[in-house]
Amino acid sequence: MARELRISEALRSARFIFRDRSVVAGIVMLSFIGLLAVLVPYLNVPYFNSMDFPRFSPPSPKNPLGTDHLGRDMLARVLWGARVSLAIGICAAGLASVIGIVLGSVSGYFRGRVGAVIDGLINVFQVIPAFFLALVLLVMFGSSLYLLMLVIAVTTWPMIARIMRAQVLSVKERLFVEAAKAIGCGDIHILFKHVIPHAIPPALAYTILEIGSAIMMEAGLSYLGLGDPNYPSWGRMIYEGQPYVVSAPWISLIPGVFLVYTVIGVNLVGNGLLKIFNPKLAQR
Amino acid sequence: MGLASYATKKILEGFFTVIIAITIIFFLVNLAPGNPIYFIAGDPVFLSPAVVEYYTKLWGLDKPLYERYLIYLSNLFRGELGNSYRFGGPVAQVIVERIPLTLSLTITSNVLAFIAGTFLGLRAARSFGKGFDNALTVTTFFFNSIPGFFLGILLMLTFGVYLKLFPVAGLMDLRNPKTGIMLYLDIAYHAFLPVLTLTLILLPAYFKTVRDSAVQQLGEDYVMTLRAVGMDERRIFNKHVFRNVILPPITLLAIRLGFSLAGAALIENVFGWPGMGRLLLDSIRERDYPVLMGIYFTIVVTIVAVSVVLDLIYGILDPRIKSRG
Repeated sequence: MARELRISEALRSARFIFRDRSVVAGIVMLSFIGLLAVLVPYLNVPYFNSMDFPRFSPPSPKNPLGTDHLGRDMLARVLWGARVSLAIGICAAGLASVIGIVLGSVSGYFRGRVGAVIDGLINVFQVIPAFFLALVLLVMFGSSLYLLMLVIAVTTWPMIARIMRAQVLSVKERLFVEAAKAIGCGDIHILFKHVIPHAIPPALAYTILEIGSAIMMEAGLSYLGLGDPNYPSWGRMIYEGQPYVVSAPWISLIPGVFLVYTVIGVNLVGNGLLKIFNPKLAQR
Repeated sequence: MGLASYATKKILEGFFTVIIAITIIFFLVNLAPGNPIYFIAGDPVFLSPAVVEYYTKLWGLDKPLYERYLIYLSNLFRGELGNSYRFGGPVAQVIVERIPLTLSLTITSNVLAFIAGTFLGLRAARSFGKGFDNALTVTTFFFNSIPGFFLGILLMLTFGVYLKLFPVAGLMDLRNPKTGIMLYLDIAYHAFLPVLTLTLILLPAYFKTVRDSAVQQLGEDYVMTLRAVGMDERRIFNKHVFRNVILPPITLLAIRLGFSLAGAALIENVFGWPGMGRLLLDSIRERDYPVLMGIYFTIVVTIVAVSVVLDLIYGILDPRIKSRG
């Protein structure tokens, strides 16, 4: 009974979400790039690091997007780059949102000393410029894909934590929470079973937006040469093309176009969801 | 809570935030692998142990970590940021040289974005749902989704390389240096593209804030009343709606000005602008820890100071905030 109710509820909210045109447009855009990223190992494109082609060749039938300064096929690199950029975006945003949701809801629900400590942490992280901290961490500890994800997550969770805390603060006062308390449920049980499920939607929408910012942040860090040199992320490719940006602009511009396309898709979905879940937040 | 105790509380909070932020970065930087001496002086194989020992002593790297931390903090309290590893001179001087260059980019573009964003936001709300509104919403959405450094590259290619309207990079024309007022004009000319890039990146948030809250105001009774008495639509917006929507973008502007020392690193890098961002990147690469910490300290203090001042102003303007703490 309860499960059926939940499924029908989910279907109803799905229909509600799909009514928003920008969300649908974003999902279409993203599924296109996502599909390419998933399928690229099975597509008939050269290996992304093989240097089998003439250097600096502009787009041609053989290399539809041209080749770079080492004679690598741009199409292959851009598609493999989609895997790297999307993976970093999704993992970093996912991690940030887990940290943010847990800390934010604990701080909102318990207040008191625990809440004060978490609030302090959020405040400190908000005055530390995220990009700066990420930069220092990457240079100091050497760059790798995993560190990139971790660093982006560690520097971007406070925003989600703040949203979550505000949500929990308001959900906590609702009647069903009081009812749960009255029948003797424990705090942890109430928080995770009753409060968080009601408070979470805006935080999730924000997590999706965060994927876009994480992809952009990765691009920015890679653009400074701090990306993982072993894998072609889009930011890394823009960085590698930078010295030839006048003579062979496609090396930088093509990955950039893919990057912007993806971020637009992510923002369409994220903004649309935010508008549905929490009209007030979407205005920011 | 009285205003005095509210102010004390906010200032103390700000103070401790700075201390914690400094502590985090101090330990990160000092626990990181790699001895700065080798980054600056070269491979240890070619260094005589005496030189290494000399610099280890000079930079105080022989002391235990906690002692270095306490020394650093006590120096900070005396306004002493230490000496740069690379330049030898005091860190404060190295940083102060760069501040005006970065601020001239960030303050200009923030103010421009604020003015243009507010104006366009109001204008778009006036034609809500029509062509002008839609075109602007789509355009700002685009600029919100493009990384600043990539937009910088695009603008540099278009206006600098192909159209040759503006210089591609640098602070001034080194080949025929100018003097007096012409020097400043030359710098402004070089600043055009970076400022344009930053303005376009910063504008969407102002636009969206103003437009959305102005659209919300359209449903309010006072707008209907003013329309009913036949007031000119432009006057309704520029005078009455304006007053009700201007506060959030001002707050945004203030917060962003707080971040303005840190905000342009990537774009400075694209256009070879020798500001704080460039200094930061160079000091990170060269492991110039004192300069790195100094930049960080300056940035964090600015941000905290702006947010404390903002809190105080709001506390004075709106007495309810004080009682909420």
